[in-house]
Amino acid sequence: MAEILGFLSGTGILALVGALIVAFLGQMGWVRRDTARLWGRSAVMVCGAGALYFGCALVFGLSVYGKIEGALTLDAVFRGPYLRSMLAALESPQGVGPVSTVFAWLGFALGKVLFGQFVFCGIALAWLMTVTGLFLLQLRLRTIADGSTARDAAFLLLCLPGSVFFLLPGAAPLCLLICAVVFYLFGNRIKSWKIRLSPSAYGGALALCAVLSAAVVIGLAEGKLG
Amino acid sequence: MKLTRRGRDWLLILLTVLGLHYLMMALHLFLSAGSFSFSALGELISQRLMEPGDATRYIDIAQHGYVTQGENAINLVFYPLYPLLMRWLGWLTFSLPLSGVIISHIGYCAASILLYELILLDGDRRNAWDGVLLMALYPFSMFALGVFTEGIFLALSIGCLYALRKRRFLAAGIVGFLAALTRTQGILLFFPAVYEWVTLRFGPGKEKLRWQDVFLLLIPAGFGVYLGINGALYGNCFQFLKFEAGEPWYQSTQWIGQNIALQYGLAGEYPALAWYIYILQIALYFFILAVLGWGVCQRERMAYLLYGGVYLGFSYLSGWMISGGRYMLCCVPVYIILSKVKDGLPRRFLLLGAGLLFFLYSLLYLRGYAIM
Repeated sequence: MAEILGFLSGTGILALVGALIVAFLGQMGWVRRDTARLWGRSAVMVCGAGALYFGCALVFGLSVYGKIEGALTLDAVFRGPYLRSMLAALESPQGVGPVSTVFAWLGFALGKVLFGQFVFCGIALAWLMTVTGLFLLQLRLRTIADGSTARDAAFLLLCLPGSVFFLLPGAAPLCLLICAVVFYLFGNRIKSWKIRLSPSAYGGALALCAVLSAAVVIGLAEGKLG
Repeated sequence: MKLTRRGRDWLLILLTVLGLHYLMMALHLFLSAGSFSFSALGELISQRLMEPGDATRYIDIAQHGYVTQGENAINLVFYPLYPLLMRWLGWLTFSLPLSGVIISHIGYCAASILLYELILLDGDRRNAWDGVLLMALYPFSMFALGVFTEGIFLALSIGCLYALRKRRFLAAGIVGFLAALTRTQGILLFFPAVYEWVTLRFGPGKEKLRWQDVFLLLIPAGFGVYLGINGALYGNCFQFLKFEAGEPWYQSTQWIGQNIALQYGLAGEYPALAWYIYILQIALYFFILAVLGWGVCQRERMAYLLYGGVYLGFSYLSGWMISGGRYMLCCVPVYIILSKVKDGLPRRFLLLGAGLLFFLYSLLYLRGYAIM
């Protein structure tokens, strides 16, 4: 319970800071209102996906092991070797692959600012990068396709098997952000977006992705993946 | 003499905010002794408003100033303005505790009127009245009347927000300077000040830069004066942090999440204190966070939200906090935001809940429970 309260209080104040920054930019006329709303929607999507993945792993862990020590800490729920080395790297950045090390340094720097909360900062940074990435992707997709295509694509991205890694400290969120920035900068060269799934095909793809995603999450919770 | 409508409002505010607290004291005397007398009331004021907690430290500073030797050297952690005012008024009243109580009463009354006027700038009389009522019914508002900095700090911080709202930067700078000389949180008024300045000078419909803008720097200058006092006495501008880290405060700066988890642990360890210290501080944190979040959704003025956010975050960075209820009394934006709750069931429940909690915690405080 103490861990949940600690996590919620920390993320709560950071969310408030984010909301105030977005509102400020909107008020100054530096960001359009629908752009701010898109950012907010991206954040809600990422939070929702994160809660689902984390809940899924937690329920699995509690069902299989009966009890998890420190049930609501990330390293108790997810046990993959990469994640473990990444969590260690957040406290003392070291070679875990070039992109991962860049992420570890960023998390380390933020952790120093937030009184040594390295793991918390690693997660917050991953979520922030994913939100920004999704936001930029949607922003560009809206100009070359339309709003609903952008939304569908963003949602599907969060359901892809392995997308749980976007929400965990590591190379994935940083790669997503880099790809999104590149796509945002150069995506306008694509004249129009022709790919359009029918609602039933989209639903089927989502269902398949959800099942495979759950498999990745469980593999991660068992320590067999990532 | 005939009072104007505004004058009648102000009089009603003063009667209400002071009346509520003195009614509470009378009820406490009735409940505990079965009778009421002015001598008992005087004794109660002396015990609960002039002596508890840090009151004796303020009195000591007012009497001797900051000292560098002996056990009172740690009084340096208290900011200078309030004890200085006590000292000056003490020349008239011949009693430092009485001076402290008078200053706090004046400060609290001024704060209530200023809050009324501040809310009135963007709302109607019902909003303004609700804001004042909510501040009066805050469960720990009793502290604003005693020898604590809450009364005067409320007046100065609301005064600064009012001046900022009216874009009077000279006045805001001066009042903010005094607020920063009263409490640590005073410097946080610089955030809404910078926001108002940026929006006025660089936002839509921007106005030209004016030399008077520089007066906003008086707010951090207030904190600078306090650091200067530290430096002059100890050769270390941050000596107060060393004292805060030691006995009896054991203060440290930790991340909010860590502090909230610690509070929860302490609630389990000391269940007798949980409901008026630890659980209460956790509940207050989430309540205020939710109110500020609601304020963002309601598009409340950004300056207030910003001040509320930094005030909440900054206050909860302190480890080993036991006076969170008292600190949050001065989180003024909460009253402003909640005053906008539309008339209906939510508003009625809000006032009912505030009234019940005010009664409960004031009674516990007056009975001498460890509410600090």
